[in-house]
Amino acid sequence: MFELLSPYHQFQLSSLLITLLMVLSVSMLFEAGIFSLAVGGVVAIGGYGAGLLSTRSEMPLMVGLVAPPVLAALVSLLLGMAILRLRGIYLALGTFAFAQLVVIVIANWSFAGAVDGIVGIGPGLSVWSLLGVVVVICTLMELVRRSRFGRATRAIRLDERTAAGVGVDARRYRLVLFTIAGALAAFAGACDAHLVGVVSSDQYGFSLLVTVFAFALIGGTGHWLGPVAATICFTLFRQSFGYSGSGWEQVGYGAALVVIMLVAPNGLSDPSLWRRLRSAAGGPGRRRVAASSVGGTR
Amino acid sequence: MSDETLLRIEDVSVSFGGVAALQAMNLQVGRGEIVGLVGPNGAGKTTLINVITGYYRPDAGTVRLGEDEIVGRSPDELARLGVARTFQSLRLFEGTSVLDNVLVGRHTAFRGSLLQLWGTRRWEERSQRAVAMELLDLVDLADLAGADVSNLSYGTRRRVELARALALEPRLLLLDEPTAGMSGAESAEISDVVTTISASGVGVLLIDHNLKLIADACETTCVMVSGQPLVTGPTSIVFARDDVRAAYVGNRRKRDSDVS
Amino acid sequence: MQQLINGVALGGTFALLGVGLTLIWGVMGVLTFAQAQVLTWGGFGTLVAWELGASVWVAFGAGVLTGAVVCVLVEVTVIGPLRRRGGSEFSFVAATMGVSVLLGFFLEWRTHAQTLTFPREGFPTGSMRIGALTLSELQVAIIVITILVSAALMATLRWTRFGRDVRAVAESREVASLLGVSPRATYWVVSAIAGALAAIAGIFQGVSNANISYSSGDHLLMIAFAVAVVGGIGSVGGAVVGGLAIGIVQVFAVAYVSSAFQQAAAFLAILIVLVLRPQGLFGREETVRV
Repeated sequence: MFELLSPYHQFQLSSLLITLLMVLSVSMLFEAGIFSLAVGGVVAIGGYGAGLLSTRSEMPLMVGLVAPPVLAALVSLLLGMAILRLRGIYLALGTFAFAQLVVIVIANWSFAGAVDGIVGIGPGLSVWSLLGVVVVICTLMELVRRSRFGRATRAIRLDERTAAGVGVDARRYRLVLFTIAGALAAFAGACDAHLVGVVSSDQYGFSLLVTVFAFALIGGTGHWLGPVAATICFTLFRQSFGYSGSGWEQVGYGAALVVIMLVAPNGLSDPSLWRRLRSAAGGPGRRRVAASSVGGTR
Repeated sequence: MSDETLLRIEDVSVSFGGVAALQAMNLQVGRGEIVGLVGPNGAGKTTLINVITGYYRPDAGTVRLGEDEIVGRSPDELARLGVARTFQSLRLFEGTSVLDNVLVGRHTAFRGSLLQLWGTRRWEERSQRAVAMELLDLVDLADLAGADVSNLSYGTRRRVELARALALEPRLLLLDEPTAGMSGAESAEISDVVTTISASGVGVLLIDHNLKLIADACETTCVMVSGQPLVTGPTSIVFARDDVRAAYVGNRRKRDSDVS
Repeated sequence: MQQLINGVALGGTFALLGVGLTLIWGVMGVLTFAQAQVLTWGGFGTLVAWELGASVWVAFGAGVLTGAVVCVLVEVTVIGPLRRRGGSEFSFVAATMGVSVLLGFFLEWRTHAQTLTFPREGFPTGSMRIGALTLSELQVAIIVITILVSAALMATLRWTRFGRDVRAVAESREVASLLGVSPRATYWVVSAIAGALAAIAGIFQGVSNANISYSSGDHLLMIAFAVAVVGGIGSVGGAVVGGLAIGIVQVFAVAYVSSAFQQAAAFLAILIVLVLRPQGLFGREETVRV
């Protein structure tokens, strides 16, 4: 492999890509109107699963990267069947409770190293493999977005009862999405475990949730490019200005969350936001009747 | 015109918190038949449609679609079985284009699975768009296909909802005040569309306050008052009855009550 | 039995925070993640007043006032504007998370992330014996104040005109304003009450632990959510019952199971209630009309 990037930059890029996967797993649920705060829990399953498999067994890397996501998918499926019929705040609370429970279980499980975590996890996918994975996932997301599945998902978010009236089985869609999102987030957690080499229970708490959510919400629900762009911008910003220490970084995310929610409650990829900006910039004579790009109408 | 009964509602009752919305409701719609359903506000017409489409579960009675008992099935199941409806309160997918609203209605017609995201899908996507455009043509909305529904006039939005309901290729069409807010000319167009649709064998239940529309389009009409059928029969006879006029027509403005 | 009393005392703190949360949730429909910080700021308010030489009662009052003010400020600067812009349920969650981070960071910065000693002089610190039980005076104070405040609140909501106004706004903002009730004023007052309650909880916690830091309130947030969920949204009585119940469960968990279970108890409670009976003990079932 030719060295296009220095090991330091490879690390940075890998970290960015992993964060991207987590953000996408949250975003894909937003598309369907599912506000799940479970991401910390499934990422933990992925991270600890990979860590355990890597340090306590002789399984090859691939097993460590595939088995935890499968487990997370199963857990997500069960959790989803139990609580996805809830809406809004109740769902958010239930998923948050689940995530915290996972972290507590892990933190107290001596087999998993209890509070000390697991150290000495070997390297995982190269940065190029990770990039390939991200590209594949984004491609899939775009294909789905333009297909009837994308339309159905958006319909569920916009008006679930009406969507049911035209034949969209909302329950099944939600369950499938929830399961896939769980697997994706766990995969990201597994890759992260290999990248950093250590896992401990305190990295899956509130600050992970706030970070991932900030990017996903700021990016918005109009298009997966929104969260991707938000993640890239914020991460580059953070990396180049060298804000070390989580304090100021968290403040930035906190402030951004508040401001963006006030200015653009649907995130930056919300088509109506851009239309508002365009008509504000173009003056009253330019009111367009054209539709949003949400449906990909050609 | 009904050689086969498509929808059979027998003794359906529903109450909400002690208030009886429907009491022993009986109604039938045959294939290719347009049945009118009229009554004062609060008579339970929309509640009946909600029961048929699976949003409410009746406390008693049966609802049959063809040979099948459909009580207890979910709305999306019923949509797949060929029951389509429009909403009295008009529910479109806001911020989405006219075409996309109708395309969601085509959802059940797609055959491809998730695994065919590339190849066959493009062909199917194109052919479904063509079908959707035909439907828009039927309701005279083809040139607004790309427009955002949120910006359109009330009457236009009603037409989009009708097109979306038709997109399901239903065997039973339940229309809840489809011409509300429309001019006389627009209402007449809708009436033509509904008549055309029913001529191809679709059973239609038409709720509206425009009694002229009902009189023109429906051979049979049921008058509902307080959750029960007051009278059901040939439209001209029903509208001529005194008790019908007293219960319903009497409250309306003179123009609407001029049916003969 | 001793444990029961301990549980009730612990639950008092939970109940106070939970009542504030369920009030905001019931009246404004907002699940605010910022309450933990309101609680902490309330505690700091008392600390600062104390260090400026105020007497115990004044310091207590200052803390309560701080909590109320902070909570109202959050309503005025974030929740209110977001509501006017038509934020989704979830955008409130996200925004208040952000507010919580900001509020916490301010305290972290000013205290240099250190844990400070919370004053105990002037607060009840002795203990007393009733039969075979040992109670600290503080526990008694907590229990008494919790009961008094909750009772007062419930009475206000049920029998006063103000209480009716609050319930009207909770039921329907539009209808309430048509009847001459100002929703905005109601939101402010409810926020102030919730903030005051949170502050009281924070002060109790400070005195119990004899210390306070910028993150004192964080672990209480989930418990407050559990309390609100178990009791049912908008139900003050439910929150009180829920808070006491969870307090008791926690104490018993530590005594008879393990301390790890103590942390998990609140989360398990939330999940169990949500799966089995989402409306909680006293909440209403939500129906959606087509």
